[in-house]
Amino acid sequence: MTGDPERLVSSASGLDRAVLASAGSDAPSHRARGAAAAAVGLAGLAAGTSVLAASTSASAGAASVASKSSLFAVALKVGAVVLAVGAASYVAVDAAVPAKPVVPAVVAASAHASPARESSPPPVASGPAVPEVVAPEPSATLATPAAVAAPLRRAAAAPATVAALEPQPSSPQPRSKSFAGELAEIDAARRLLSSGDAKGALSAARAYATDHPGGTFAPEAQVLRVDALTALGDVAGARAEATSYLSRYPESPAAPRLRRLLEKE
Amino acid sequence: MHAVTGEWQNEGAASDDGVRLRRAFDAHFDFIWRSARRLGLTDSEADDATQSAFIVAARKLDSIELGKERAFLFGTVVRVVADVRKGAARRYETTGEVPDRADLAPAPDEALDAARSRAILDDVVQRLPMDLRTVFVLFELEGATMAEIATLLEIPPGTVASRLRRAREQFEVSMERYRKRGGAA
Repeated sequence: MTGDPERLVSSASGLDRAVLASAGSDAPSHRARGAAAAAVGLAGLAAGTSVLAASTSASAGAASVASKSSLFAVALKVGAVVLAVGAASYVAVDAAVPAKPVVPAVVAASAHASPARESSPPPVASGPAVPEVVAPEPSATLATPAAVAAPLRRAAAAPATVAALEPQPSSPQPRSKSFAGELAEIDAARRLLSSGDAKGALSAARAYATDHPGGTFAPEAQVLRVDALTALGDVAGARAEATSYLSRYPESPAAPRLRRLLEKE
Repeated sequence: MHAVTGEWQNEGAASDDGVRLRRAFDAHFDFIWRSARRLGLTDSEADDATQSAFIVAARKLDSIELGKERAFLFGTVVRVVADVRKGAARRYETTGEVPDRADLAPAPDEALDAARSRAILDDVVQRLPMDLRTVFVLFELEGATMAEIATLLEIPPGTVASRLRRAREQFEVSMERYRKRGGAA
């Protein structure tokens, strides 16, 4: 924009300038990048098939629950994987894992080899960074057990997160208004679903909606309800949730999957 | 070590979501980490916060509009930073006091080493309310244009301009305090 003022670091002098310029060396460590890649399941991508196999077997239990519909098998698989990631991370938090995450060599190497890593990221919002069209059906997002090796928080000062890990139903207040709290709840629901406890998942996903009207993960909670109901064989219930989801989030990338589901039966 | 073309193709076959996530990761990891750091976290807190942001993005990938990955990640990390900093912010609010950081007082000749400058920056930036802080960090430290910031934060350009102006005023006030302390030291 032509009307932008000059950056302070250019116009300032003395202490101001030194202080502003001191941010110039900020950069994440390779270790941090590797740990984060592992935590989101990217570390295993370079390993290709073996990771896919691991992912498949990890979610086999969930998939078998939904043997009626391959779409749901896929959905559950994704859920299970996400769960694996989330659970691993938060379990790590819960256990207050000390010190540094141990990044497996494979992870570090993989992150190191990321194609875009060497170039600095483009300026803020310089345009869509991901041009490809979204996959109509989510295929399994790859996760690896390496996520376990990446504790999320070493810092003690994360009260919101800690509180979130143990939702307190007895509390008179809504469980946790915090983002981390919502995250933990939705994680718990996913965990239940992928462990085959569709009933528990359903009630957790319903509790989420009750506790957080308009919550950050409201769409995800509703998709979880669809999947849980399907797993329970409640086709009518699943269809009702799917219909409601589509009316609320018609443009959501998850919508096509649910639409196809509704058309199917 | 960097010959990854084949791997990329495999990823494409394995998972489009995986590719999308990976691209977002490669394109934005550094930016998100720097943002976390500059918005008020320590290095290791920034590691964790960045990781959190990408975990959230990974699980919400379906609901993130294509091309909005950066905005989503940034918005997420801002919230994570706010969560982590809540305790510290509360301490500031109750005391209204500059924490005792005599070690940060600049030498009269302003021959500050980089680490000390960086510590002052942390302190000064953290005094800004989050809405001003994000704009300040993006504009002054990240070098984003005001138009880019408006897009990223989904706020009108005029709002960006006014937040930047107020942020600069507050930045100056805080810096003035440091300069005075330096003079008195």
